[in-house]
Amino acid sequence: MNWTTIRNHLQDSFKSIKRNGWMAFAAISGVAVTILLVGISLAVVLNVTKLSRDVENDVRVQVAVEPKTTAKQKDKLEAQLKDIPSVKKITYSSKANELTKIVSQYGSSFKMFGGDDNPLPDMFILEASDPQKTVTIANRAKKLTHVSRASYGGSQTKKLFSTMNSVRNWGLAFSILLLFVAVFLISNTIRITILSRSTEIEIMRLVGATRWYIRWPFILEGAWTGLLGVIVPLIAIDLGYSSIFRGVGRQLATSGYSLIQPQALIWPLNISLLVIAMLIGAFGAAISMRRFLKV
Amino acid sequence: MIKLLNVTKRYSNGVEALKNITLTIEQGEFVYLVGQSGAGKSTLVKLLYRELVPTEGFITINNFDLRQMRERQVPQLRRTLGVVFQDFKLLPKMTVAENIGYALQVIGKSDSEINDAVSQVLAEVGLSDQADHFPDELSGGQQQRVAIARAIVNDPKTVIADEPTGNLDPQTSNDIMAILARINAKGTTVIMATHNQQIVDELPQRVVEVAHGQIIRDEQGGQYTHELDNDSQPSAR
Ligand SMILES: Nc1ncnc2c1ncn2[C@@H]1O[C@H](COP(=O)(O)OP(=O)(O)O)[C@@H](O)[C@H]1O
Ligand SMILES: [Mg+2]
Repeated sequence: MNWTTIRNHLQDSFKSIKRNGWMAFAAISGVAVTILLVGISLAVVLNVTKLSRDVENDVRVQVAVEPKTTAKQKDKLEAQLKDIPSVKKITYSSKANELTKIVSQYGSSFKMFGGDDNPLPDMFILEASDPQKTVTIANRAKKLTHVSRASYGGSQTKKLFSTMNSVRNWGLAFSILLLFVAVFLISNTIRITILSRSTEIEIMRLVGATRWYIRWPFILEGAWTGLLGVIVPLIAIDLGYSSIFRGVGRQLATSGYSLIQPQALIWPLNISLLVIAMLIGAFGAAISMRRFLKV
Repeated sequence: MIKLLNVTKRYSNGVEALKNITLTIEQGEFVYLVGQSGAGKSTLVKLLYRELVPTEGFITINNFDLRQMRERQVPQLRRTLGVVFQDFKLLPKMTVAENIGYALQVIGKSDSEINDAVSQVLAEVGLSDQADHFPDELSGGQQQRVAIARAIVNDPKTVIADEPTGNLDPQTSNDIMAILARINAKGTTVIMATHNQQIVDELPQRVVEVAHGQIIRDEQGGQYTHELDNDSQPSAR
């Protein structure tokens, strides 16, 4: 393929997009909405994976002490907790300390619970020698006197996970639906292009243009549609994720879990979405070419 | 050279448009395919440029074996052929020069090759002054000359024309025939399907008459109708 040929293909494909006007715009918008949803779903999936790995590796068990437990009873409890097999380390965190954590996460409005109004329990934070042991440790700790509650990473984040999972599932389901819509819209514009160029196609075949020569402009038109459709959602996802990371990230900080760094997420995500968009375009084009382009 | 051996073409609806045709055409010949409407002329023409594939039989043309040929080799065959139709098939949004150049552009020729070849064929068909006109600014005869120029711009070995004068008045038809004769005089094979009696009779060449999908006459320098079968005189169209 020489430069003249490439130039011809590019010109043909740009001309078609312009000529198709609103149809092309609808197809581009279809791609945009699809990519936005796919992008959000992918970001959620990747973060859920990351967080569950964090949780799996989390060796901590949080033990809440019943209110009105005396210092002596607490010492005894600490010794008993230390005796549980697989407990490697134990730290004490007073309810005042716990409140400071909450205030740093959720803001100073919680400061009013200071002093005797503090509803939080005192805590022992145990570290297991192995993340798998946290469940047994929590179960044993629960049975001790003066323990009101014992929880490990998994139990705490279950609720967060179930929310994120449903976001992911609905996102993916919608994405798949929209994927079809986008492919349909693109194949429709390509169909219009093929029909409006039927005489040209006939001449090309007659004078011996190769099959690929005839196909290229349509494939390119599909790919451009994908490319144009991907711009807005990519910007939205990149900016959106950065600000969510800053917001949620701060809240998660004290729990020891974290979202994926924007720098680490955005590039792989952008490239995958770009590829998906171009594939949607090429696939849409291929469908119409199969049906309407007899070469 | 073109060879058809025991060629039968049956359409998917069961119509047998050609039945067991055998025909040889040497390089440089001028051949009329004549016969009534529905006789099978267009089907035969389409088999030659491989728009259709025969149901049975063998076809070789310009060293291509159309039976063994793979789909992706068809463009190579078509580059050795020039095809002309009754309805010109020009692109309305391109000028005369662009319409002709298009045939070279889409097979990857460079702009300079295209420019040279286009001005040469424009001169050959006498349309140098109309190079920048659009098809709808031309008469039917001029449009057909553009179509012929496009068919010969890549120096084909064979020109195939299906009723090229079908839409033209007698005077204009004669101009077209003069151009085809000139192309033929340079060694290009010309195969022309027609039911225009006047043309065939005025410019005698080899006549192959088709009726009901079979060759019923193959006569060098023949007239449109054979003296002996005047009864079956075809009505035009
Ligand atoms: N695409 C087609 N499908 C089915 N039958 C066809 C098709 N094209 C032509 N025919 C039939 O084949 C016969 C020959 O047609 P054609 O080759 O066009 O004849 P001519 O060009 O001599 O008028 C006719 O009976 C016609 O109806
Ligand atoms: Mg015909």
